[in-house]
Amino acid sequence: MNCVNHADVPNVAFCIRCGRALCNACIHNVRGSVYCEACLGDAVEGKTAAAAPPPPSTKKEVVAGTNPGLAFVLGLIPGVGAIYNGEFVKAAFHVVIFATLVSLADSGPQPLLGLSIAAFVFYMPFEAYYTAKKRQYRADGIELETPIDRLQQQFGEVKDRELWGGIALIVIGGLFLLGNLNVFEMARIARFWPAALVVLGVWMLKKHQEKAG
Amino acid sequence: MLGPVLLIVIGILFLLNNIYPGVFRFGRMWPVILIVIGLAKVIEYIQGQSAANKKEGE
Amino acid sequence: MSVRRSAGTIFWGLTLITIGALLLARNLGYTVPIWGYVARYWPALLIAWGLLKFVDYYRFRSAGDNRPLFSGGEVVLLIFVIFLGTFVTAAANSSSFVGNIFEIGDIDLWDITGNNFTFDEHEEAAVPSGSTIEIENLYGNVEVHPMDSDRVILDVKKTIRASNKEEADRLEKDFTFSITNAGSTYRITSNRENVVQFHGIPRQRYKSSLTLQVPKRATLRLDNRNGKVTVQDLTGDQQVTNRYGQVDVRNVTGDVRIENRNGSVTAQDISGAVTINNRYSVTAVKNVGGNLEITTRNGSVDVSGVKGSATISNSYAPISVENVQGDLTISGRNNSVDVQHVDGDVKADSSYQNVSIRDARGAVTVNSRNGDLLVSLQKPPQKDISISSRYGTITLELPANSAFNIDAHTEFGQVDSEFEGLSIDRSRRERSARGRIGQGGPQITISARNGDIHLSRRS
Repeated sequence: MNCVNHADVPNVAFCIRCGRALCNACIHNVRGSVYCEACLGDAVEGKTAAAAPPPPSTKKEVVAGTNPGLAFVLGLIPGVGAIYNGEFVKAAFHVVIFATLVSLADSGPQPLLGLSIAAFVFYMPFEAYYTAKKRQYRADGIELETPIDRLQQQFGEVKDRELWGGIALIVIGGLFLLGNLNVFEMARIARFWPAALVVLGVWMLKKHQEKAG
Repeated sequence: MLGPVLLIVIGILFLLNNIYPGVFRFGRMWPVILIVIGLAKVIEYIQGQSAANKKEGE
Repeated sequence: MSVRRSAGTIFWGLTLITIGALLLARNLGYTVPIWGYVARYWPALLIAWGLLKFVDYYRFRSAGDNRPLFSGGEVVLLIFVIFLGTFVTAAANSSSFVGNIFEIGDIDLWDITGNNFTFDEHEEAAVPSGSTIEIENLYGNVEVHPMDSDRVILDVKKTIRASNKEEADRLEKDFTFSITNAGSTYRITSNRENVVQFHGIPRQRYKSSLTLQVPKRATLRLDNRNGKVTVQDLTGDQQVTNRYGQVDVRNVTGDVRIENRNGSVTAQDISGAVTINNRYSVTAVKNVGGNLEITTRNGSVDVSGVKGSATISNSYAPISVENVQGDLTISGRNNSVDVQHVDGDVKADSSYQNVSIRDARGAVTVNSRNGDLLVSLQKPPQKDISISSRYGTITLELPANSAFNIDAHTEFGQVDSEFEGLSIDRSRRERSARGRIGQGGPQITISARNGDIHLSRRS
């Protein structure tokens, strides 16, 4: 394992309080026990130990089977990347979204629809890669912030995303359903899909303003 | 809560597809699934809000 | 620790008991059309699964258990069950009888279990040529062939489901066919008909497939259920009624009347009029000497070669017609219409799919909406053409040497014409192309809304 402070230097010991891996430059040896700088400071100031993450040997087993590179390659196939990461529900969603996009493309030439499909096919492997990497780091007790996280944060916090995502699903599902029931012709309504981009952009601007203010 | 509800809705859709093949083709009715997921998310949000409000009130 | 045991255990326990009980009942000889019910009602499993998970949700919440409701393995299993279920339903539907999904041709795979016993019966009777013969059968195929003498020869292959040979023999003795005579009508039927239960045993345990030879000149009134009906090479008017099985009538000199449901209908080389009433399956007609009338829905229609007039009514499935010498009338709904070469007048109505009429030699009247419309003539128009459409593009293609008067107008659409000399008005909300081509001729009226009109010229 590599030192938590120096990512390319292998460790020589683990902190006796929090279990983090430490290289030669980071160990603090006190009466035969190894401490990292943070825990040594806490001990000196009398603070109680933080809850220790599980011992290293078991951590290794959890991490095995999480190869970010493999996750990326498998992510090129819709759904398989998420299955590799053990996220079965997400995998199902990926397959459904991909199938919907492809079947939409069937209903007529739509500029930018091909682009959306390409974008999604690129998004999936990256998401799988970063999810795998996140799991790896989490096992070491580090919460990694990935570009995928930052992308999702653009759309507001989780609560907001769930609410508006839910509303969007209801609207989209309703439109498709009415199209299938031949209440109106899908092709006529599908022309207006760029309006969704406009709405999304406006919302992102609003969020940006809220954060700044 | 989403899981069981979604499963029940999918079950109902397939059942209707089998009993009334002319009217309730699954290939036609699948958007109902999107609507149900969306509704579940919205309901979860509302539940979250009322729980948060209750907490503040205590 | 009762919360640990999720409702899933109860679910699987009940499922195993049910499957075990059903299989046991079948082995003891009770007819339980399991596969029929499974193919149809398997989604109830998903619903029950969901309800149990619902119960789990509340139990977990009150016990403060934060476990996810569906483990990864369970999701995979669920997806597998859904795929398997849809496959079984599709297999059942393709053979158009839910209970017989394992029949391949004439082989019923249930025979492998050894609970089906087959018997043969042979009956003959003198029947004069030209008689009316009524045939009634259930749960089996009927095949009718002509012969040269004035006789009817009936060969029945009887299949009885029983727990052992003794019971089968006993049941078979009481299940017989007969050819009876009532005036000038002859009746071929078994003593099993018209009762839901025959001696306390469900009717479908008795299957009978008939192979009949009848005089070449005969009028049949055939009524069958759950099997395939084949009639060929007869002279006389024929009437066939069937359900849940195919109907195939070929080479008949006379009129033919077919009624079927959930099974395909094929009528070929009929010299007289053909009337077909079908649903939920394909109707295919080829080479009719008289008029043709098809009433169906949710099943495609394929017609080729009608000497008389054709009237077709269908919905939710395509209609394809070629070579009609008389008039053609199509009443469609939510279906595509494809017409090729009609000598008489064409009248077509449809919606939500494309309509295409090519090489019409007489008057053309088409109404459609929410679909594109193409009318393309090979020869210059001789009779009036009237086209109306909403929410669809209209394309009218005419030979370059055509002469006609035209009034084409659309609201919320464009009009363009490859024929020069028309007055095109694009100034107002309603765009139009009006005028006369050549010395004038038949009146062409095109009326559209929310759609473009293209007037095309074939050189």
